[in-house]
Amino acid sequence: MKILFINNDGGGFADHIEVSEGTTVQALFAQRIAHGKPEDYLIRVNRQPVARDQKLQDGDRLTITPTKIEGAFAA
Amino acid sequence: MNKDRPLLPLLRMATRVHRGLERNRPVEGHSQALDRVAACAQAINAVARRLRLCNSHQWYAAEITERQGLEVRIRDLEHALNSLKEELTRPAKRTPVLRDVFEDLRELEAEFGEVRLDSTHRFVAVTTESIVLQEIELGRFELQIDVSMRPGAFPSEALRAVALDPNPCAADDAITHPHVSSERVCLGDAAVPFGAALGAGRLADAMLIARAVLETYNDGSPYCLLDSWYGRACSDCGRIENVDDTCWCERCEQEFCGECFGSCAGCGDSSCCGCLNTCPLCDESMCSGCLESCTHCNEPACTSCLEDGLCPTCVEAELDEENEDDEAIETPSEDQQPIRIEYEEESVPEAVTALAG
Repeated sequence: MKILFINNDGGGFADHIEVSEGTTVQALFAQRIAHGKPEDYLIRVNRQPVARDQKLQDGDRLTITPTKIEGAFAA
Repeated sequence: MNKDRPLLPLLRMATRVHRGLERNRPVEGHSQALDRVAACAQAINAVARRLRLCNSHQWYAAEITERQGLEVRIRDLEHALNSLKEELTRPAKRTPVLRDVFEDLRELEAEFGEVRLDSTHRFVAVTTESIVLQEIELGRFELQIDVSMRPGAFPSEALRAVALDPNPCAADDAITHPHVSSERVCLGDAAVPFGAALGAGRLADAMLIARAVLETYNDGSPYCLLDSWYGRACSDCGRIENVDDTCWCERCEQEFCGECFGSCAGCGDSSCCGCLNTCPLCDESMCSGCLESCTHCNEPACTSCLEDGLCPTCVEAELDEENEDDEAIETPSEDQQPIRIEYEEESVPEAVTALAG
């Protein structure tokens, strides 16, 4: 099945990706954000907060946004 | 999400925002990449024509130069083709449909409690909770995104963070947050994902990314360190220091950081580097009291380098002069030889003869 995956960590691009039936939000997070902890991110499916064990459906929109991003100062 | 709020105002707002986004649809990345490939191909054609000309006229030296130029153009073409390939693998940047804009605004409303569009229909705005970093309360910020701005090389230009309960850095009122100066947010690591979200018209994602920057303190490169939030700026370099770490210069009556402060090598008095001068002879830092001038040549020198008010060069010159005078006294000249008086024998007095005998 296909979902729209928006990864706002790093490049920030939106891509349609193939996922297996029964893949949970937690499992996909672990695959795609291997270095991160779920509690450091806003994870939304179809713009709604979800439980980590929620199974993804065909056509879902999954967004992962870090809650902490380092800014800087313009030289 | 507050399902009781009427949707019509939000829908009206979404229509206006969508119109703004449509008007400023970003240029497709692959279109620009194609233009670059075409330009490189044109440049290669031009070099190829010149190369054929050189070949036909047997201009061997010119041919070598043109071949080198061709190698450069071929490398440019390779880069342009790689960029085009990357752009083609990316999803096309399309303006979101009205429904997506509406859903974004609903998401912002759910996340921030309220979303606003200003009277000019340019800025979509939300308000954050009060931001507290390292126990310093920076207050609430209104994040504004200008939807009428075409996303360009610097997407952060479309973003403003207005301090609603300002608690700015003591040294500069414009710095209301370690990463906000004059309402401009320096996005740092967030620049790329923010630009991608804004370019795709994903306003909710862009706002959440901006909020994440405000909620994070990067002590590696802030406008002002939180440790120095209540500090003062050095009058020389502008660096902001804690009040306890600044140095006061009695001479010019201004405050400085440790780097811009020193002491006189002569008397030991402390002052800022601007009030100290360097002795050209010994290179030490000296205050105005310890730096004088040679009484002969008037060149500056410190009291340690002067000898009886003279610099070493003038002392040496004086010594040379004295030495020349001494030599003149020890070796008299011809016209200074003793006079020899010759007497005839019978005229030498008897007494002298007796003594001689």
